[in-house]
Amino acid sequence: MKINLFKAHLRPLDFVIFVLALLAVIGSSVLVLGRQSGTRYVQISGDSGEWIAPLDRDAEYRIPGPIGTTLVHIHDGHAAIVESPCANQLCVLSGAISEPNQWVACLPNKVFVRIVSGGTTDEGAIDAGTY
Amino acid sequence: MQAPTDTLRNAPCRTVASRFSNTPDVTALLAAFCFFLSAVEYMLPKPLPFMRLGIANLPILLAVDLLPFRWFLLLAAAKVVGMSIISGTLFSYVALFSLAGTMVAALVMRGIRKSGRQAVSPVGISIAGAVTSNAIQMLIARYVIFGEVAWLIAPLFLATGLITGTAMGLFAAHFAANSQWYACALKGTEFSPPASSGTQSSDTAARRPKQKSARAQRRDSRRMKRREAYEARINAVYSALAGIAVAVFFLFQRGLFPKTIFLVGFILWAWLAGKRFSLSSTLVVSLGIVAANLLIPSGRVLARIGPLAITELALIEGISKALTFEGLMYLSKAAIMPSLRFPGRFGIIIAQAFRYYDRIIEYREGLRPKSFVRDIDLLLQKVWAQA
Repeated sequence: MKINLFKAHLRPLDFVIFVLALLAVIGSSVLVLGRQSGTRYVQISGDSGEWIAPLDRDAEYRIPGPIGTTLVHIHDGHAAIVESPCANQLCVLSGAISEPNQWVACLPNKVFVRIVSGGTTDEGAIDAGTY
Repeated sequence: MQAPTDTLRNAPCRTVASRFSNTPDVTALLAAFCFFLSAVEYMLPKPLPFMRLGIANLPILLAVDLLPFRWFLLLAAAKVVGMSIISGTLFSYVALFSLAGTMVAALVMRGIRKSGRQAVSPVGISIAGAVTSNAIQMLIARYVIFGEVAWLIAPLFLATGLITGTAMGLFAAHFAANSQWYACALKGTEFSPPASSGTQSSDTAARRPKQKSARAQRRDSRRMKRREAYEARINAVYSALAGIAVAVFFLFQRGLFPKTIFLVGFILWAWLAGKRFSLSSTLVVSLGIVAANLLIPSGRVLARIGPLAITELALIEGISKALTFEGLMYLSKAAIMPSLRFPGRFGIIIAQAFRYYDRIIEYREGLRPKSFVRDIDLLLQKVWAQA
C-alpha cells in the first residue's frame, strides 16, 4: 500500500489546521513545564517521619512529637501550625507561610514545616515577611 | 476468489434506484465497518497501551460527506456503543472517554467541512478530529481518574493525535480517491452486483488469522463452552440492568478492602461469563494509574525511590482509583453480553450494524496489508451487494 504525499491534494485549510494543532502541542508543552516548576509543596518533618502535601489542596495533618500532637493546617494556599502542645506557642504565633523556603517550626515538639517548590530554579518571589 | 473480485473492481455505478438513498442502511454498514476496523486495529502492535492509530475512524471520515447531519452523529454514537458492546466496556470509563472524544470530534469535523468546503481535505478534517478527541479525553482523564498529573501527558497525547490524525487523513483521502463503493455511494447510484461471490465459507477454522498453540486453543474452547452455557441461561437485558445496579453500589464504596473484594468478584463473574480478559494488562494499567498519582506527593513519606517520594495518601488514592477503573472494566465485561440490543430507532441501527458485522467477519480472509485499500473496498462492495 503506497500513499503519494504529492497526489494527496492537500488544501490550504489543511495546512492551517496542521499548524494550529502543532501550536497546541507546543503550547501545552510550555504550559506543563511552567506549571511543574511553579507547584509548591508543604514539607513537614517530625520526630517520627516526614510528610509532603501540595500547598493548593486543603488538608489537616496531625504530627506526633515528643510532647504531644502538633496540628498543621493547609488552607487557601497557606500553611500554618494552628495547635501545638508547647508552652511558648511561638509556632502558632508565627502565622501562615506560602512562599518557597519560608518555614515555621515548633522546637519543643520537633516539628518543622517548610514550603518547597516543585521546580529546581524557582526560589520564590521576594516577600516582605522573609527579611 | 480471484475471478469475481476483478469483475467487482470494474463494476460501473448503475443508474437505477439504489439502496444508497436508504440512509439508515448506509449508516449501519459504516458502523459495522467501524467495529471491524477496530478489531483490525486491535491486532496491530502498539507502542503504548493507550496509543492507537484510529483506523476505526475511517468510516466516520468518509461519512462526513456522505450522511446527513443527524445520521452522521448517530453513526458516531453507534460506533462507540457497538464497539463497547463487542469489547464489553460499555459500563466502564473507557466508554465514557470514547463517547465524549468521538462525539465532540465528530461535531468539529463536520463543522470544519461545512465552513471550509473545498478549502479543506480529509487530511485537515482528520487532524482536527484526532486532536480534538485526544484533548477531550485528556480533560476527562484529568477530572475523573488521574488528577492534576494528567496535564503532564497532555503534550504527548496531543502530539500523538497530530501524527495519527495526519496519517489517517492521508489514508482516508487515498481510500476515497480509489474506492468504487465510496464513488457510487457519493453519487447515490448502485454498482452492478458481483457476478458470483456466493462463496460463503462457514468454516470457522479458516477465519482464524493465526495458528494458535494447542494450549491456547484448548483454553479458548473451554472459554467458549463457559460462554455458551452462560448465554443460554442469562438474558442480556437483565444482565445489563443488574450490571448497572451493581455499578452504582460499587461506586459508593470508599475503602480499599471492599473495593478489592468487588474487583475479585467481578473478575470471577467475567470468567464465568466466558469473557476474554488479561490479568497482566490489568496489572500494567493499574500500576500506571498508581504511578501517575504518586507524582503529586501527599501524606506521610513511606519510602523514596530516587527523587520520587512514595507518600501514603497519594498511594492510597492511586490504588483506590485503579481498583475503581478496573472494577468497572470487569463488571462491564461480565454484564454486557454481545446479544444486548437497545430499543428504538438507535437500537435498530445497532442491530443492523451487527448483522453487517457478522457478514464482514465471514468475508474478511481477503484482507492483506499490501492491498489494504482495495481489499477493504471490495469487502464493502461485497457486504453491501449481499444484503
